[in-house]
Amino acid sequence: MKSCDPCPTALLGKHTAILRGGFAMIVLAFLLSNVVAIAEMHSAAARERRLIDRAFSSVDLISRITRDVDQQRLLIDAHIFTSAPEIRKKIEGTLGSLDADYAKAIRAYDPLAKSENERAAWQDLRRAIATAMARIDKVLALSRTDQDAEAIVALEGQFGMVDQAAARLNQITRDNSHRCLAMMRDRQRDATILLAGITLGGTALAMMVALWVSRALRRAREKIHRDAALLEERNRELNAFAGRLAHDIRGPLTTIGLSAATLNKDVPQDDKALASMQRAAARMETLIEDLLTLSRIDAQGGEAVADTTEVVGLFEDELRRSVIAVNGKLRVDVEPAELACRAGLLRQVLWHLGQNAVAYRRPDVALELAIVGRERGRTYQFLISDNGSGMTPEEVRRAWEPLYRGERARAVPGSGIGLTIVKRVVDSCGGTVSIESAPDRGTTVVIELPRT
Amino acid sequence: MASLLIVDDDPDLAELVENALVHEGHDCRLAQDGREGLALVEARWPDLVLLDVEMPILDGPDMAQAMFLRNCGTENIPVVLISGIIGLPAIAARVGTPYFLAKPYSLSALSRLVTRALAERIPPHPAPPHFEVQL
Repeated sequence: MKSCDPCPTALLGKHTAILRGGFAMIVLAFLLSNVVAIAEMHSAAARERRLIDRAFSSVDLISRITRDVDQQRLLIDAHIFTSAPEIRKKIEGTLGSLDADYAKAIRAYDPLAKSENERAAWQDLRRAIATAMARIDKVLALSRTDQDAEAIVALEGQFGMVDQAAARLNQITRDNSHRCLAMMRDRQRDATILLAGITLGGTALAMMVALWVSRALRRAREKIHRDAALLEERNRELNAFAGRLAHDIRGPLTTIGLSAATLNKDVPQDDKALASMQRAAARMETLIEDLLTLSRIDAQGGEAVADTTEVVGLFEDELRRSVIAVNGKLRVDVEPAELACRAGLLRQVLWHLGQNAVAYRRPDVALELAIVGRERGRTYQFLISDNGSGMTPEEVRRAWEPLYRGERARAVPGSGIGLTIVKRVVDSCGGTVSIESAPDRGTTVVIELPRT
Repeated sequence: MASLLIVDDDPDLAELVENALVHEGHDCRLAQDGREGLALVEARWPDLVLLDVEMPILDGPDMAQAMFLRNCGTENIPVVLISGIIGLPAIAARVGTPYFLAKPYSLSALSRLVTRALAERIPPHPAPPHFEVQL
Protein backbone atom coordinates (compact mmCIF):
# COMPACT_ATOMS: atom_id res chain seq x y z
CA MET A 1 0.00 0.00 0.00
CA LYS A 2 1.15 3.49 -0.77
CA SER A 3 1.76 5.47 2.41
CA CYS A 4 -0.91 8.09 3.04
CA ASP A 5 -0.42 11.79 3.67
CA PRO A 6 -0.73 12.80 7.31
CA CYS A 7 -4.39 12.91 8.20
CA PRO A 8 -5.93 16.39 8.61
CA THR A 9 -6.55 15.92 12.34
CA ALA A 10 -2.86 15.14 13.00
CA LEU A 11 -1.90 18.04 10.75
CA LEU A 12 -4.16 20.40 12.71
CA GLY A 13 -2.85 19.02 16.01
CA LYS A 14 0.75 19.60 14.91
CA HIS A 15 -0.04 23.13 13.77
CA THR A 16 -1.94 23.87 16.96
CA ALA A 17 1.08 22.76 19.01
CA ILE A 18 3.38 24.94 16.89
CA LEU A 19 0.91 27.81 17.18
CA ARG A 20 0.82 27.49 20.98
CA GLY A 21 4.62 27.18 21.19
CA GLY A 22 5.12 30.18 18.89
CA PHE A 23 2.75 32.40 20.81
CA ALA A 24 4.18 31.26 24.16
CA MET A 25 7.63 32.27 22.89
CA ILE A 26 6.31 35.64 21.74
CA VAL A 27 4.57 36.32 25.07
CA LEU A 28 7.72 35.26 26.94
CA ALA A 29 9.90 37.50 24.76
CA PHE A 30 7.60 40.46 25.35
CA LEU A 31 7.49 39.86 29.10
CA LEU A 32 11.26 39.48 29.26
CA SER A 33 11.89 42.59 27.21
CA ASN A 34 9.50 44.61 29.35
CA VAL A 35 11.10 43.37 32.57
CA VAL A 36 14.59 44.20 31.26
CA ALA A 37 13.51 47.61 30.01
CA ILE A 38 11.63 48.50 33.22
CA ALA A 39 14.56 47.35 35.39
CA GLU A 40 16.98 49.34 33.28
CA MET A 41 14.82 52.46 33.47
CA HIS A 42 14.33 52.07 37.23
CA SER A 43 18.05 51.68 37.71
CA ALA A 44 18.78 54.73 35.55
CA ALA A 45 16.16 56.80 37.41
CA ALA A 46 17.60 55.76 40.81
CA ARG A 47 21.12 56.61 39.72
CA GLU A 48 19.98 59.92 38.35
CA ARG A 49 18.14 60.66 41.61
CA ARG A 50 21.26 59.75 43.65
CA LEU A 51 23.42 61.85 41.40
CA ILE A 52 21.13 64.83 41.71
CA ASP A 53 20.93 64.38 45.51
CA ARG A 54 24.70 64.18 45.68
CA ALA A 55 25.11 67.22 43.46
CA PHE A 56 22.67 69.20 45.61
CA SER A 57 24.42 68.01 48.79
CA SER A 58 27.84 68.90 47.38
CA VAL A 59 26.74 72.36 46.30
CA ASP A 60 24.94 72.87 49.61
CA LEU A 61 27.94 71.79 51.69
CA ILE A 62 30.42 73.85 49.68
CA SER A 63 28.09 76.86 50.00
CA ARG A 64 27.83 76.19 53.72
CA ILE A 65 31.63 75.99 54.10
CA THR A 66 32.23 79.14 52.06
CA ARG A 67 29.42 80.91 53.94
CA ASP A 68 31.05 79.92 57.23
CA VAL A 69 34.40 81.16 55.95
CA ASP A 70 32.81 84.45 54.75
CA GLN A 71 31.09 84.91 58.11
CA GLN A 72 34.39 84.29 59.88
CA ARG A 73 36.02 86.92 57.69
CA LEU A 74 33.29 89.43 58.47
CA LEU A 75 33.41 88.62 62.20
CA ILE A 76 37.21 88.97 62.24
CA ASP A 77 36.85 92.30 60.41
CA ALA A 78 34.34 93.36 63.10
CA HIS A 79 36.71 92.07 65.81
CA ILE A 80 39.51 94.25 64.36
CA PHE A 81 37.43 97.36 63.98
CA THR A 82 35.65 97.24 67.35
CA SER A 83 37.33 98.24 70.61
CA ALA A 84 34.68 97.03 73.01
CA PRO A 85 35.98 93.98 74.83
CA GLU A 86 32.48 92.54 75.44
CA ILE A 87 31.72 92.68 71.70
CA ARG A 88 35.06 91.08 70.92
CA LYS A 89 34.24 88.30 73.37
CA LYS A 90 30.84 87.80 71.80
CA ILE A 91 32.45 87.70 68.34
CA GLU A 92 34.95 85.11 69.49
CA GLY A 93 32.06 83.00 70.82
CA THR A 94 30.31 83.17 67.46
CA LEU A 95 33.57 82.28 65.70
CA GLY A 96 33.80 79.18 67.89
CA SER A 97 30.30 78.00 66.90
CA LEU A 98 31.17 78.67 63.24
CA ASP A 99 34.23 76.45 63.64
CA ALA A 100 32.04 73.66 64.95
CA ASP A 101 29.62 74.04 62.01
CA TYR A 102 32.51 74.15 59.57
CA ALA A 103 33.98 70.96 61.01
CA LYS A 104 30.59 69.28 60.70
CA ALA A 105 30.29 70.38 57.07
CA ILE A 106 33.74 69.01 56.32
CA ARG A 107 32.83 65.63 57.79
CA ALA A 108 29.67 65.57 55.74
CA TYR A 109 31.39 66.48 52.48
CA ASP A 110 34.33 64.17 52.82
CA PRO A 111 32.57 60.96 51.70
CA LEU A 112 30.92 62.79 48.78
CA ALA A 113 34.23 63.60 47.08
CA LYS A 114 34.86 60.41 45.15
CA SER A 115 36.53 61.17 41.88
CA GLU A 116 40.25 61.85 41.82
CA ASN A 117 40.09 65.45 40.63
CA GLU A 118 37.25 66.21 43.05
CA ARG A 119 39.23 64.83 45.99
CA ALA A 120 42.30 66.83 44.95
CA ALA A 121 40.24 70.04 44.75
CA TRP A 122 38.63 69.21 48.09
CA GLN A 123 42.05 68.73 49.70
CA ASP A 124 43.18 72.07 48.22
CA LEU A 125 40.12 73.77 49.75
CA ARG A 126 40.74 72.17 53.12
CA ARG A 127 44.38 73.21 53.03
CA ALA A 128 43.44 76.78 52.09
CA ILE A 129 40.89 76.91 54.91
CA ALA A 130 43.37 75.37 57.38
CA THR A 131 45.97 77.97 56.38
CA ALA A 132 43.40 80.72 56.79
CA MET A 133 42.25 79.36 60.17
CA ALA A 134 45.86 79.17 61.38
CA ARG A 135 46.22 82.87 60.68
CA ILE A 136 42.92 83.75 62.37
CA ASP A 137 44.24 83.03 65.88
CA LYS A 138 47.21 85.34 65.21
CA VAL A 139 44.92 88.01 63.75
CA LEU A 140 42.60 87.81 66.78
CA ALA A 141 45.56 88.12 69.13
CA LEU A 142 46.75 91.27 67.30
CA SER A 143 43.20 92.64 67.32
CA ARG A 144 42.86 92.10 71.10
CA THR A 145 45.95 94.27 71.63
CA ASP A 146 44.52 96.88 69.21
CA GLN A 147 47.25 96.27 66.66
CA ASP A 148 44.63 96.62 63.93
CA ALA A 149 46.97 97.48 61.08
CA GLU A 150 49.16 94.44 61.72
CA ALA A 151 46.07 92.28 62.05
CA ILE A 152 44.71 93.45 58.67
CA VAL A 153 48.08 92.77 57.03
CA ALA A 154 48.22 89.27 58.59
CA LEU A 155 44.73 88.47 57.31
CA GLU A 156 45.25 89.83 53.79
CA GLY A 157 45.08 87.24 50.99
CA GLN A 158 44.13 84.28 53.19
CA PHE A 159 40.44 84.15 52.27
CA GLY A 160 41.09 84.78 48.55
CA MET A 161 42.78 81.37 48.34
CA VAL A 162 39.79 79.79 50.04
CA ASP A 163 37.41 81.43 47.53
CA GLN A 164 39.49 80.21 44.61
CA ALA A 165 39.69 76.63 45.95
CA ALA A 166 35.92 76.61 46.65
CA ALA A 167 35.14 77.91 43.17
CA ARG A 168 37.39 75.22 41.62
CA LEU A 169 35.70 72.47 43.66
CA ASN A 170 32.28 73.79 42.66
CA GLN A 171 33.26 73.72 39.02
CA ILE A 172 34.59 70.15 39.28
CA THR A 173 31.45 68.98 41.09
CA ARG A 174 29.26 70.61 38.42
CA ASP A 175 31.32 69.08 35.60
CA ASN A 176 31.17 65.65 37.19
CA SER A 177 27.40 65.95 37.64
CA HIS A 178 26.95 66.97 34.00
CA ARG A 179 29.09 64.07 32.85
CA CYS A 180 27.16 61.58 34.96
CA LEU A 181 23.85 63.00 33.76
CA ALA A 182 25.00 62.64 30.16
CA MET A 183 25.98 59.05 30.90
CA MET A 184 22.56 58.38 32.46
CA ARG A 185 20.83 59.81 29.42
CA ASP A 186 22.95 57.57 27.20
CA ARG A 187 21.91 54.56 29.24
CA GLN A 188 18.27 55.60 29.07
CA ARG A 189 18.57 55.98 25.32
CA ASP A 190 20.19 52.53 25.09
CA ALA A 191 17.35 51.03 27.16
CA THR A 192 14.77 52.67 24.89
CA ILE A 193 16.56 51.35 21.80
CA LEU A 194 16.75 47.87 23.37
CA LEU A 195 13.03 47.94 24.18
CA ALA A 196 12.15 49.15 20.69
CA GLY A 197 14.38 46.45 19.15
CA ILE A 198 12.84 43.70 21.24
CA THR A 199 9.34 45.00 20.49
CA LEU A 200 10.02 45.16 16.77
CA GLY A 201 11.70 41.73 16.80
CA GLY A 202 8.81 40.24 18.77
CA THR A 203 6.28 41.80 16.41
CA ALA A 204 8.17 40.47 13.39
CA LEU A 205 8.39 37.03 14.98
CA ALA A 206 4.66 37.13 15.82
CA MET A 207 3.82 38.09 12.26
CA MET A 208 6.03 35.32 10.86
CA VAL A 209 4.48 32.73 13.16
CA ALA A 210 0.97 33.99 12.34
CA LEU A 211 1.74 33.88 8.62
CA TRP A 212 3.22 30.40 8.83
CA VAL A 213 0.37 29.08 10.93
CA SER A 214 -2.29 30.66 8.71
CA ARG A 215 -0.64 29.05 5.67
CA ALA A 216 -0.45 25.72 7.45
CA LEU A 217 -4.09 25.99 8.51
CA ARG A 218 -5.10 26.91 4.97
CA ARG A 219 -3.26 23.86 3.66
CA ALA A 220 -4.94 21.67 6.28
CA ARG A 221 -8.34 23.17 5.44
CA GLU A 222 -7.77 22.57 1.73
CA LYS A 223 -6.77 18.99 2.44
CA ILE A 224 -9.91 18.47 4.54
CA HIS A 225 -12.02 19.88 1.70
CA ARG A 226 -10.25 17.67 -0.82
CA ASP A 227 -10.70 14.62 1.39
CA ALA A 228 -14.34 15.48 2.01
CA ALA A 229 -14.93 15.86 -1.73
CA LEU A 230 -13.14 12.56 -2.33
CA LEU A 231 -15.20 10.87 0.36
CA GLU A 232 -18.39 12.29 -1.13
CA GLU A 233 -17.33 11.04 -4.55
CA ARG A 234 -16.53 7.61 -3.07
CA ASN A 235 -19.96 7.54 -1.39
CA ARG A 236 -21.63 8.38 -4.69
CA GLU A 237 -19.60 5.65 -6.38
CA LEU A 238 -20.53 3.22 -3.61
CA ASN A 239 -24.22 4.05 -3.97
CA ALA A 240 -24.01 3.66 -7.74
CA PHE A 241 -22.08 0.42 -7.28
CA ALA A 242 -24.71 -0.93 -4.86
CA GLY A 243 -27.47 -0.02 -7.33
CA ARG A 244 -25.69 -1.66 -10.25
CA LEU A 245 -24.86 -4.72 -8.17
CA ALA A 246 -28.51 -5.09 -7.12
CA HIS A 247 -29.57 -4.76 -10.76
CA ASP A 248 -26.99 -7.29 -11.99
CA ILE A 249 -27.99 -9.83 -9.34
CA ARG A 250 -31.74 -9.34 -9.72
CA GLY A 251 -31.56 -10.21 -13.45
CA PRO A 252 -30.26 -13.80 -13.10
CA LEU A 253 -32.23 -14.19 -9.86
CA THR A 254 -35.45 -13.48 -11.77
CA THR A 255 -34.40 -15.94 -14.46
CA ILE A 256 -33.78 -18.62 -11.83
CA GLY A 257 -37.10 -17.89 -10.11
CA LEU A 258 -39.12 -17.94 -13.32
CA SER A 259 -37.31 -21.09 -14.52
CA ALA A 260 -38.12 -22.84 -11.28
CA ALA A 261 -41.74 -21.73 -11.51
CA THR A 262 -41.90 -22.89 -15.13
CA LEU A 263 -40.50 -26.31 -14.21
CA ASN A 264 -42.92 -26.52 -11.32
CA LYS A 265 -45.94 -25.67 -13.47
CA ASP A 266 -45.02 -28.27 -15.99
CA VAL A 267 -44.92 -25.74 -18.78
CA PRO A 268 -43.53 -27.06 -22.07
CA GLN A 269 -39.82 -26.60 -22.94
CA ASP A 270 -38.54 -27.74 -19.55
CA ASP A 271 -35.07 -28.26 -21.01
CA LYS A 272 -34.85 -24.61 -22.00
CA ALA A 273 -35.91 -23.48 -18.52
CA LEU A 274 -33.27 -25.70 -16.98
CA ALA A 275 -30.60 -24.35 -19.32
CA SER A 276 -31.68 -20.76 -18.54
CA MET A 277 -31.45 -21.50 -14.86
CA GLN A 278 -27.93 -22.90 -15.25
CA ARG A 279 -26.80 -19.91 -17.30
CA ALA A 280 -28.25 -17.47 -14.75
CA ALA A 281 -26.48 -19.34 -11.95
CA ALA A 282 -23.22 -19.21 -13.97
CA ARG A 283 -23.66 -15.43 -14.46
CA MET A 284 -24.12 -14.93 -10.73
CA GLU A 285 -21.10 -17.11 -10.01
CA THR A 286 -18.94 -15.09 -12.43
CA LEU A 287 -20.15 -11.87 -10.84
CA ILE A 288 -19.40 -13.12 -7.35
CA GLU A 289 -15.96 -14.45 -8.36
CA ASP A 290 -15.04 -11.13 -9.97
CA LEU A 291 -16.26 -9.21 -6.92
CA LEU A 292 -14.18 -11.44 -4.66
CA THR A 293 -11.12 -10.97 -6.89
CA LEU A 294 -11.65 -7.22 -6.70
CA SER A 295 -11.97 -7.24 -2.92
CA ARG A 296 -8.85 -9.41 -2.43
CA ILE A 297 -6.41 -7.44 -4.58
CA ASP A 298 -4.95 -5.43 -1.72
CA ALA A 299 -4.88 -8.45 0.61
CA GLN A 300 -2.86 -10.73 -1.66
CA GLY A 301 0.45 -11.85 -0.20
CA GLY A 302 3.63 -13.09 -1.83
CA GLU A 303 6.74 -11.41 -3.16
CA ALA A 304 6.05 -8.23 -5.15
CA VAL A 305 8.38 -9.18 -8.02
CA ALA A 306 7.10 -10.30 -11.40
CA ASP A 307 9.19 -11.52 -14.32
CA THR A 308 7.41 -10.26 -17.44
CA THR A 309 8.21 -13.23 -19.69
CA GLU A 310 7.24 -15.74 -16.98
CA VAL A 311 3.94 -13.94 -16.36
CA VAL A 312 3.09 -13.85 -20.07
CA GLY A 313 4.00 -17.53 -20.31
CA LEU A 314 1.34 -18.29 -17.67
CA PHE A 315 -1.56 -17.35 -19.95
CA GLU A 316 -0.22 -16.94 -23.50
CA ASP A 317 -1.22 -20.44 -24.72
CA GLU A 318 -4.72 -20.23 -23.33
CA LEU A 319 -5.23 -16.72 -24.72
CA ARG A 320 -3.85 -17.78 -28.12
CA ARG A 321 -6.40 -20.61 -28.24
CA SER A 322 -9.23 -18.11 -27.49
CA VAL A 323 -7.99 -15.76 -30.23
CA ILE A 324 -7.56 -18.55 -32.81
CA ALA A 325 -11.06 -19.81 -31.93
CA VAL A 326 -12.48 -16.53 -33.26
CA ASN A 327 -10.12 -16.59 -36.29
CA GLY A 328 -7.94 -13.85 -34.83
CA LYS A 329 -4.19 -13.26 -34.53
CA LEU A 330 -2.19 -12.75 -31.36
CA ARG A 331 1.23 -11.08 -31.29
CA VAL A 332 3.24 -11.18 -28.07
CA ASP A 333 6.47 -9.19 -27.89
CA VAL A 334 7.53 -8.69 -24.30
CA GLU A 335 11.02 -7.66 -23.22
CA PRO A 336 12.21 -9.51 -20.13
CA ALA A 337 12.23 -7.41 -16.97
CA GLU A 338 11.43 -7.63 -13.29
CA LEU A 339 8.53 -5.49 -12.11
CA ALA A 340 7.51 -4.42 -8.61
CA CYS A 341 4.18 -6.23 -8.80
CA ARG A 342 2.89 -9.64 -7.75
CA ALA A 343 3.06 -12.12 -10.65
CA GLY A 344 -0.48 -13.45 -10.03
CA LEU A 345 -1.98 -9.96 -10.14
CA LEU A 346 -0.08 -8.99 -13.30
CA ARG A 347 -1.27 -12.19 -14.97
CA GLN A 348 -4.87 -11.27 -14.08
CA VAL A 349 -4.45 -7.80 -15.60
CA LEU A 350 -3.07 -9.06 -18.92
CA TRP A 351 -5.54 -11.97 -19.02
CA HIS A 352 -8.55 -9.66 -18.45
CA LEU A 353 -7.40 -7.27 -21.16
CA GLY A 354 -6.80 -10.15 -23.59
CA GLN A 355 -10.23 -11.61 -22.86
CA ASN A 356 -11.82 -8.18 -23.31
CA ALA A 357 -10.23 -7.91 -26.76
CA VAL A 358 -11.73 -11.31 -27.70
CA ALA A 359 -15.15 -10.49 -26.22
CA TYR A 360 -15.48 -7.03 -27.75
CA ARG A 361 -14.13 -7.75 -31.22
CA ARG A 362 -15.94 -6.51 -34.31
CA PRO A 363 -18.00 -9.32 -35.86
CA ASP A 364 -17.04 -8.38 -39.40
CA VAL A 365 -13.30 -7.82 -38.81
CA ALA A 366 -10.73 -10.50 -37.92
CA LEU A 367 -9.32 -9.81 -34.46
CA GLU A 368 -5.72 -8.59 -34.23
CA LEU A 369 -4.46 -8.51 -30.68
CA ALA A 370 -0.95 -7.41 -29.66
CA ILE A 371 0.68 -7.49 -26.24
CA VAL A 372 3.92 -5.51 -26.27
CA GLY A 373 6.20 -4.85 -23.30
CA ARG A 374 9.12 -2.40 -23.31
CA GLU A 375 11.48 -0.99 -20.71
CA ARG A 376 11.22 2.78 -20.40
CA GLY A 377 13.90 4.01 -17.99
CA ARG A 378 12.83 3.20 -14.45
CA THR A 379 9.43 1.95 -15.56
CA TYR A 380 8.09 -0.76 -17.83
CA GLN A 381 5.33 -0.16 -20.35
CA PHE A 382 2.74 -2.66 -21.55
CA LEU A 383 0.69 -1.85 -24.66
CA ILE A 384 -2.32 -4.11 -25.18
CA SER A 385 -3.94 -3.10 -28.45
CA ASP A 386 -6.73 -4.54 -30.57
CA ASN A 387 -8.82 -3.63 -33.59
CA GLY A 388 -12.14 -4.31 -31.84
CA SER A 389 -15.35 -2.35 -31.40
CA GLY A 390 -13.66 0.38 -29.32
CA MET A 391 -15.25 2.76 -26.86
CA THR A 392 -16.79 6.23 -26.90
CA PRO A 393 -15.09 8.98 -24.87
CA GLU A 394 -17.84 8.65 -22.22
CA GLU A 395 -17.26 4.89 -22.03
CA VAL A 396 -13.49 5.46 -21.70
CA ARG A 397 -14.12 7.98 -18.90
CA ARG A 398 -16.30 5.53 -16.96
CA ALA A 399 -14.41 2.36 -17.89
CA TRP A 400 -12.89 1.87 -14.40
CA GLU A 401 -16.22 2.09 -12.55
CA PRO A 402 -17.18 -1.26 -11.05
CA LEU A 403 -20.08 -2.98 -12.89
CA TYR A 404 -20.25 -0.22 -15.50
CA ARG A 405 -20.86 -1.58 -18.96
CA GLY A 406 -20.98 0.52 -22.09
CA GLU A 407 -24.14 0.44 -24.18
CA ARG A 408 -22.73 -1.92 -26.81
CA ALA A 409 -20.82 -3.96 -24.24
CA ARG A 410 -24.11 -5.00 -22.62
CA ALA A 411 -24.81 -7.20 -25.62
CA VAL A 412 -21.82 -9.35 -24.62
CA PRO A 413 -21.88 -11.49 -21.45
CA GLY A 414 -19.68 -10.13 -18.69
CA SER A 415 -19.68 -8.77 -15.16
CA GLY A 416 -18.37 -5.26 -15.84
CA ILE A 417 -15.66 -5.69 -13.21
CA GLY A 418 -12.68 -6.72 -15.38
CA LEU A 419 -11.36 -3.21 -16.05
CA THR A 420 -11.98 -2.23 -12.42
CA ILE A 421 -9.73 -5.14 -11.40
CA VAL A 422 -7.09 -3.96 -13.91
CA LYS A 423 -7.12 -0.44 -12.52
CA ARG A 424 -7.07 -1.59 -8.90
CA VAL A 425 -4.12 -3.94 -9.51
CA VAL A 426 -2.07 -1.32 -11.37
CA ASP A 427 -2.80 1.24 -8.63
CA SER A 428 -1.78 -1.24 -5.93
CA CYS A 429 1.55 -1.77 -7.76
CA GLY A 430 2.15 2.00 -7.90
CA GLY A 431 1.67 2.15 -11.68
CA THR A 432 -0.62 4.00 -14.06
CA VAL A 433 -3.07 2.80 -16.68
CA SER A 434 -4.86 4.67 -19.46
CA ILE A 435 -7.07 3.83 -22.42
CA GLU A 436 -6.86 5.16 -25.97
CA SER A 437 -9.91 4.12 -27.92
CA ALA A 438 -12.35 5.10 -30.65
CA PRO A 439 -15.57 3.35 -31.70
CA ASP A 440 -14.99 0.78 -34.48
CA ARG A 441 -11.26 1.59 -34.55
CA GLY A 442 -9.99 -0.49 -31.64
CA THR A 443 -8.55 0.04 -28.19
CA THR A 444 -5.05 0.38 -26.75
CA VAL A 445 -4.52 0.03 -23.04
CA VAL A 446 -1.26 1.59 -21.81
CA ILE A 447 0.11 0.34 -18.50
CA GLU A 448 3.19 1.78 -16.81
CA LEU A 449 4.61 -0.23 -13.93
CA PRO A 450 7.66 0.44 -11.74
CA ARG A 451 10.68 -1.83 -12.22
CA THR A 452 12.42 -3.41 -9.25
CA MET B 1 -55.93 -13.39 -25.98
CA ALA B 2 -53.76 -10.30 -26.43
CA SER B 3 -50.80 -9.43 -28.57
CA LEU B 4 -47.78 -8.74 -26.37
CA LEU B 5 -44.31 -7.39 -27.19
CA ILE B 6 -41.49 -8.39 -24.81
CA VAL B 7 -38.38 -6.18 -25.11
CA ASP B 8 -35.44 -7.43 -23.02
CA ASP B 9 -31.71 -7.81 -23.73
CA ASP B 10 -31.58 -10.96 -21.56
CA PRO B 11 -32.67 -13.67 -24.03
CA ASP B 12 -33.13 -16.32 -21.32
CA LEU B 13 -35.45 -14.14 -19.29
CA ALA B 14 -37.33 -12.96 -22.38
CA GLU B 15 -37.91 -16.54 -23.46
CA LEU B 16 -39.10 -17.56 -20.01
CA VAL B 17 -41.58 -14.68 -19.88
CA GLU B 18 -42.71 -15.46 -23.41
CA ASN B 19 -43.16 -19.13 -22.57
CA ALA B 20 -45.22 -18.31 -19.47
CA LEU B 21 -47.44 -15.75 -21.22
CA VAL B 22 -47.96 -17.96 -24.27
CA HIS B 23 -48.99 -20.65 -21.82
CA GLU B 24 -51.64 -18.20 -20.55
CA GLY B 25 -52.92 -17.80 -24.09
CA HIS B 26 -51.24 -14.61 -25.26
CA ASP B 27 -49.49 -14.00 -28.53
CA CYS B 28 -45.90 -12.88 -27.79
CA ARG B 29 -43.12 -11.40 -29.88
CA LEU B 30 -39.53 -10.77 -28.67
CA ALA B 31 -37.07 -7.94 -29.20
CA GLN B 32 -33.57 -7.59 -27.74
CA ASP B 33 -33.32 -3.80 -27.68
CA GLY B 34 -35.40 -0.68 -28.10
CA ARG B 35 -34.67 -0.21 -31.79
CA GLU B 36 -35.75 -3.75 -32.60
CA GLY B 37 -38.79 -3.25 -30.36
CA LEU B 38 -39.81 -0.08 -32.25
CA ALA B 39 -39.53 -1.95 -35.56
CA LEU B 40 -41.86 -4.67 -34.26
CA VAL B 41 -44.31 -2.05 -32.96
CA GLU B 42 -44.33 -0.43 -36.41
CA ALA B 43 -44.89 -3.80 -38.08
CA ARG B 44 -47.92 -4.57 -35.92
CA TRP B 45 -49.24 -2.69 -32.92
CA PRO B 46 -49.22 -4.85 -29.81
CA ASP B 47 -51.85 -4.55 -27.08
CA LEU B 48 -49.16 -4.25 -24.43
CA VAL B 49 -45.38 -3.73 -24.35
CA LEU B 50 -43.28 -5.37 -21.59
CA LEU B 51 -40.18 -3.22 -21.52
CA ASP B 52 -36.82 -3.68 -19.82
CA VAL B 53 -35.16 -0.43 -18.69
CA GLU B 54 -31.43 -0.92 -19.39
CA MET B 55 -30.71 -2.21 -22.88
CA PRO B 56 -28.07 -1.63 -25.53
CA ILE B 57 -28.65 0.64 -28.56
CA LEU B 58 -32.00 2.08 -27.30
CA ASP B 59 -33.09 1.66 -23.70
CA GLY B 60 -36.65 1.14 -22.40
CA PRO B 61 -37.55 4.75 -21.41
CA ASP B 62 -36.22 6.05 -24.74
CA MET B 63 -38.25 3.48 -26.66
CA ALA B 64 -41.40 4.49 -24.72
CA GLN B 65 -40.60 8.14 -25.48
CA ALA B 66 -40.17 7.33 -29.19
CA MET B 67 -43.55 5.52 -29.22
CA PHE B 68 -45.14 8.56 -27.59
CA LEU B 69 -43.56 11.08 -29.96
CA ARG B 70 -44.60 9.21 -33.11
CA ASN B 71 -48.16 10.20 -32.19
CA CYS B 72 -49.82 7.89 -34.70
CA GLY B 73 -51.53 5.53 -32.31
CA THR B 74 -48.48 3.94 -30.69
CA GLU B 75 -48.71 6.53 -27.91
CA ASN B 76 -51.87 4.79 -26.71
CA ILE B 77 -50.23 1.39 -26.21
CA PRO B 78 -49.77 0.69 -22.47
CA VAL B 79 -46.24 -0.03 -21.32
CA VAL B 80 -45.09 -2.26 -18.44
CA LEU B 81 -41.55 -1.41 -17.24
CA ILE B 82 -39.68 -4.41 -15.85
CA SER B 83 -36.23 -4.02 -14.28
CA GLY B 84 -34.00 -4.70 -11.30
CA ILE B 85 -32.71 -1.13 -11.39
CA ILE B 86 -32.84 1.04 -8.25
CA GLY B 87 -35.45 3.80 -8.53
CA LEU B 88 -37.79 2.00 -10.91
CA PRO B 89 -40.91 3.86 -9.61
CA ALA B 90 -39.24 7.20 -10.45
CA ILE B 91 -38.37 5.97 -13.95
CA ALA B 92 -41.94 4.74 -14.43
CA ALA B 93 -43.21 8.16 -13.30
CA ARG B 94 -40.93 9.85 -15.86
CA VAL B 95 -42.18 7.53 -18.60
CA GLY B 96 -45.69 8.19 -17.31
CA THR B 97 -46.86 4.60 -16.98
CA PRO B 98 -48.61 3.25 -13.86
CA TYR B 99 -47.37 -0.27 -14.66
CA PHE B 100 -43.96 -1.41 -13.46
CA LEU B 101 -42.53 -4.61 -12.00
CA ALA B 102 -39.32 -4.83 -10.00
CA LYS B 103 -37.05 -7.85 -10.44
CA PRO B 104 -37.03 -10.45 -9.04
CA TYR B 105 -40.73 -11.14 -9.53
CA SER B 106 -42.92 -14.22 -9.60
CA LEU B 107 -44.88 -15.55 -12.54
CA SER B 108 -48.11 -14.82 -10.69
CA ALA B 109 -47.12 -11.18 -10.10
CA LEU B 110 -46.28 -10.85 -13.79
CA SER B 111 -49.54 -12.47 -14.79
CA ARG B 112 -51.58 -10.21 -12.46
CA LEU B 113 -49.91 -7.04 -13.76
CA VAL B 114 -50.35 -8.04 -17.41
CA THR B 115 -54.03 -8.85 -16.80
CA ARG B 116 -54.53 -5.51 -15.02
CA ALA B 117 -52.75 -3.52 -17.71
CA LEU B 118 -54.77 -5.21 -20.46
CA ALA B 119 -57.99 -4.45 -18.58
CA GLU B 120 -57.18 -0.77 -17.83
CA ARG B 121 -55.08 0.03 -20.92
CA ILE B 122 -53.82 3.30 -19.48
CA PRO B 123 -51.41 4.80 -22.02
CA PRO B 124 -48.17 6.46 -20.82
CA HIS B 125 -48.35 10.16 -19.98
CA PRO B 126 -44.76 11.30 -19.80
CA ALA B 127 -44.01 14.30 -17.63
CA PRO B 128 -43.45 17.44 -19.73
CA PRO B 129 -39.79 18.27 -20.19
CA HIS B 130 -38.46 20.71 -17.63
CA PHE B 131 -37.04 23.91 -19.05
CA GLU B 132 -35.30 26.54 -17.02
CA VAL B 133 -36.24 29.93 -18.40
CA GLN B 134 -34.06 32.87 -17.48
CA LEU B 135 -35.94 36.15 -17.66
